[in-house]
Amino acid sequence: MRKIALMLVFLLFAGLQVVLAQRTITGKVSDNQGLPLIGVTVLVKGTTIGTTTDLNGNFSIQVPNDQSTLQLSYVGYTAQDIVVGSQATVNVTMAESSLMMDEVVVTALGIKRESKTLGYATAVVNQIQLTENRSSNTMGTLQGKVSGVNITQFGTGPAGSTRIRIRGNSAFQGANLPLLVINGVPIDNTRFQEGNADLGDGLNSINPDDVQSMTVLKGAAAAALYGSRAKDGVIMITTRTGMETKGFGVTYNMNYTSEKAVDYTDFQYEYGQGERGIRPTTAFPTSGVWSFGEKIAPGMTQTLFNNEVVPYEAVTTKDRYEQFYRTASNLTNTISFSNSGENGGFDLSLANTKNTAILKNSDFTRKNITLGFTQNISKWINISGNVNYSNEYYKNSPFGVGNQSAEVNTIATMANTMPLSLMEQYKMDPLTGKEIIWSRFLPRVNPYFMQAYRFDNNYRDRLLGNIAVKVNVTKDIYVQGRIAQDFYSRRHDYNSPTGRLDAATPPAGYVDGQYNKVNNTFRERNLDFLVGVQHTFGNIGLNATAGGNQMFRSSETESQGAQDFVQPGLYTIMNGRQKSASHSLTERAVNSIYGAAEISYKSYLFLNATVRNDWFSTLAPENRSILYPSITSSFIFSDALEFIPEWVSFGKLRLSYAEVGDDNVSPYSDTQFYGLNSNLFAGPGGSVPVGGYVSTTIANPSLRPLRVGEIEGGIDLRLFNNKVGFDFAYYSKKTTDQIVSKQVSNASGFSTQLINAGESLSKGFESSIQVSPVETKSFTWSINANIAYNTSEVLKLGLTEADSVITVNNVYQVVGKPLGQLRYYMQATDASGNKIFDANSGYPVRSANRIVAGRNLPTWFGGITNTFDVKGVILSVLIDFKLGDDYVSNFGANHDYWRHGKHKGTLPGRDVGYVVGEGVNANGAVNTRQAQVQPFYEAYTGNGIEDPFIFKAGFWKLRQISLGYDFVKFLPKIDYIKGLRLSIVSNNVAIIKKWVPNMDPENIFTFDDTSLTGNVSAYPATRTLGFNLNVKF
Amino acid sequence: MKRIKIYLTVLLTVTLFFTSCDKDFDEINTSKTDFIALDPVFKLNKAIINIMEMGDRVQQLQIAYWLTSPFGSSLAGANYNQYTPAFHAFPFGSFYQSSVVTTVDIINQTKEDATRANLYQAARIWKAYTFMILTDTYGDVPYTEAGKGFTDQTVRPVYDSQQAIYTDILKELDEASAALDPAKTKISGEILFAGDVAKWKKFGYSLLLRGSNEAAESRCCKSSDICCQGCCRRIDGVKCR
Repeated sequence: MRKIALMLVFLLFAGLQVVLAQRTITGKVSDNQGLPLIGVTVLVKGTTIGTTTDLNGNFSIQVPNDQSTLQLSYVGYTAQDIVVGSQATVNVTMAESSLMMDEVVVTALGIKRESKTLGYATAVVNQIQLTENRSSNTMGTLQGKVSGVNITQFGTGPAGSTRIRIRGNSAFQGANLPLLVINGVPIDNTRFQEGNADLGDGLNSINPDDVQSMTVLKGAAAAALYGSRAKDGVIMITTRTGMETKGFGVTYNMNYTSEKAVDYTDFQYEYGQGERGIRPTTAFPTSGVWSFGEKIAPGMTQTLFNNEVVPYEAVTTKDRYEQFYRTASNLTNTISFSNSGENGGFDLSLANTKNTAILKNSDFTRKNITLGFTQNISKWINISGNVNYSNEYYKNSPFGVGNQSAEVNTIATMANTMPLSLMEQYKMDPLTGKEIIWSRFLPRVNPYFMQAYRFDNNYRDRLLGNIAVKVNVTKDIYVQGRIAQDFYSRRHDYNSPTGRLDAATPPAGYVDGQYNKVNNTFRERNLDFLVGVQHTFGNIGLNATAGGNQMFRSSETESQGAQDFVQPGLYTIMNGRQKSASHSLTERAVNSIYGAAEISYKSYLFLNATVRNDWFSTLAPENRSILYPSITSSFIFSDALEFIPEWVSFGKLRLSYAEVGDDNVSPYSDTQFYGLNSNLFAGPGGSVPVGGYVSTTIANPSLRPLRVGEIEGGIDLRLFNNKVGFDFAYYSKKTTDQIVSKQVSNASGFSTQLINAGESLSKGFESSIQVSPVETKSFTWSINANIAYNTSEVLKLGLTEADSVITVNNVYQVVGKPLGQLRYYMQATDASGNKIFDANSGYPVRSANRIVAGRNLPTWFGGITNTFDVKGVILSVLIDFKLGDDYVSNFGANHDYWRHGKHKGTLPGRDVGYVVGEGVNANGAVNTRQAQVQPFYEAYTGNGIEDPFIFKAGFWKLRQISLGYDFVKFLPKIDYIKGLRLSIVSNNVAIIKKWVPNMDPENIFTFDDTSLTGNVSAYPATRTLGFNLNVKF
Repeated sequence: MKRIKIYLTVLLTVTLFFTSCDKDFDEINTSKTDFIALDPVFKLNKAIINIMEMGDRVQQLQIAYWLTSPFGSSLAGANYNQYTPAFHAFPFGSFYQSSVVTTVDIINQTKEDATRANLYQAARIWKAYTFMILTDTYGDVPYTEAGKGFTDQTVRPVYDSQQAIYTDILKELDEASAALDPAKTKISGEILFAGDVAKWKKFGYSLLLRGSNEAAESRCCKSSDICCQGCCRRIDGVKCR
């Protein structure tokens, strides 16, 4: 009976239990800031019962019993198991995962993916890397920090451009510039260079403090969904939307750095001003820019251009820099207000930037207003958007970098015994209004004259933004539509001042001088839609996206110019004698449809395929359309294979293949246009119009898009509980059907013809490693190193095998050789390599043909960051390097230094008064001819014998040091201050190793890849020192 | 089910939106600021100015400037350098792209146009004059296929012998000068003789005289070496055969 009673009780309880099992558990999942997490997977462990959270983070699920465990998982967050117990509501806070492998990456088109599912290499840059130790250009800050991204910040002034290359060059011509995407929308990064000044690029509009994160998509596979313009990778910038912090918040950031010119010259100061070994003893001719005078000794004097007799003593470049340049400053103040709640948030940021140049009258100011918002207007509909307005003014951007009349160039080339103070005093003759002759070589303009009378104003107003509406049709399906626009209007005007000695004499009644005005309007509009579906069937997950994009871009430029003026000092068009005007409007459109599908198996094997079709307006109707696919795979072997040891925390293999098409021609390349000269031409019967073909390139109406095919493989490893991380990617990228501007016979009436012919290969690897050798409570040391290697080969250039070489601007593309060959006239040599000198004069003899002198693209580059954290004090040191490329340190640098006798290489022979070149004569006899010193050295510069000016462009630099600490804990208990971080920073600290003398090896200013040579900037490299203050309220 | 319907509708709308994937592309790819036709007399002016202004006159001036002035270019200014390859190559590099391609274009454009008959003849004369300088400078040069890079897509024109060139130049000068008709329309807007047809006729015949003399010298070169030495007094162009 007792047994029966017990059984009954048991059954009763069992029955009750069954009743209890039917109950529903509801709950809410939020992140550690209390914001709802949408789409969190909630599974009952060991069953197939599951659900996901809704837009408010709520879920409801039926559990079998109190012992049931809920498994919660969400991309980017640490998974959690929760035992239900007796509770009816379960509120869960999920923590963001700190492990790299769970990182969420913003991929093409702004689609967020878990990084482990990606079959290609990406790099994520965080905000601190961007803002703490910055240079004036947003990307310049990242030099050496991002694996596989080759960044060069030009030495051209406070708003100079940056050159960014990912995985080498995909095309012979054009800029090979990665696509720049802000908040999912491509923006324009055109670099402007007018009137011999670098006016900066599109990145200048962005305030680094507004950037929340940046992702670099390196290969074609990553970028496939962005299509044609992403053939060189994509840099995706996300600005804030207010959802980063909970509730109302204010952040204030101040960044101040001071900048000083660094003197890298190593000039001779033994011989002073003069020529052919004689110092000037009369006022004219005074040599001014030549330092081929007499040996400097105490008590000696020289006569200057103004008949003044002054001591014959050397002035060092350092002293000149001190006198001519100032300490520049860069100051950015950003204040941002954000608010976020259950249904969304916003972030409004206001910023003011003022960067002064070391050049006394030059500065760059920028004002930014940035608004980002996201709002759920109903359970199913979300509206989000970003608007960025910038107002930029670049005043007197340093003129003529690499130009002989540039003030920056003259400072360095001026004879080493010329006192600078007199130059300032005697810059202009008040009677004639002309520059006073100070040098026998007139194109070297007095730097103070230029500084006083030259002007250059570049204004830009830019508004870029997008509005997106996302509709969650069902839990698994969403539809998104977006409209985006990048619009700017530029006004630029600049002069060449009246009174320059190298100006042509104007007709009677006029004074010389030039004035130019350029107005430019740019608009790019993108309309796109996206449909996304995701669903899980047991072990197999499906995630598919389809969409389309309409891109329309137009750029309109109106320019006017005037030469010679009626009234001196009045720089207007109507005051001019010879006027010119031009107007251009270019429009292009690309329409695209695309789709992507990802299939996952047991969350360790991921396959992703994309397909995209583009239609280009620039090409003929029959060639407009191009379809290209990509397929990527990712295999998490650490999860899949049981025999992988414990110490392998995470291991992933990647493999992908992708194709991308592109129309890299400018609009209207299919038509041969005529042009008419601005001015009538005077003839015997009166003035008449003059016109003819505009271009010397033969138009081609049947061009096809080029195609890039890239294969990529890689491995991602995290060892010893993530203490060691290693990533390696190999790629091989082939570009076919490149549109080449092929040289043709001049006798055809043209110089080039556009054809589809080129084929080239770019391959290499990127690898990065993170190690934390020491990790204790009070001290952490971590090393983060990256290295990339790239090499390339030209495979085909023309329609026949005979087409084995073309020149593109200043470089040669040669079949079988890496891209960007440099070929120069060098000193002639005999069969055994002896240098040949002329038997009669003793001067060097120039080679009959141009000789291969190197290549202009680096093969190795990377950086090593050491970070030390001592009780919260963080010291970070970055060393970076770039190796393998060569250049000619030409005008504006060593060529001019040599020519003017300041280069130490021009010293030998001066003591005895002759030089005997070490080598042979043309007949093979040893050269014994004593040559005159100055003409001997000038034979190199004058005849273009480039031997003394070709150098390895590589370097090792101590790029950055920063020291930071969050002082918040020392503050008295003020609730509203949440953080107070101060960092002391220094940029471009020191050059550890370089090969080129007298200059910073990075002091170049070439945006594209084909005109590197000769484009050396004489604007001195600068070192910055400053601080960054970040206060959070 | 209702949601799926919505979804399908959206998808359909979007697809329709993108159906014609290159709608308006022809219009977009038509320049709104550049022009594709030009009055042939403006072109003739270009050909004339380029030969006169940028041709040998400037070259001589430049060389004189270089030799005498210490304030020359950055490469040569008083540096006692005599290396001047750009100037030796100048006529070849410039004349084809300015005068030859332009006169070829004018001739194509006006050949059939009776109202521009005098302009057509003037262009033939100017073309002949341009080639006279070219062949006098270099000897054999591209002639029959020259200047046709765009019209015929001929990018590697064949070289013609100097003799063949001269024969044709003389024929052209003869025919064109004879065909110029002062009674017909003036070449208004022309820069060299203000469109005066009689002057063009005179110019054509003068060139014919000069050309015939040159050709005679060339022919003499073939007969004996001694004569050749005397004849070939011009710079390295005229070939001695």
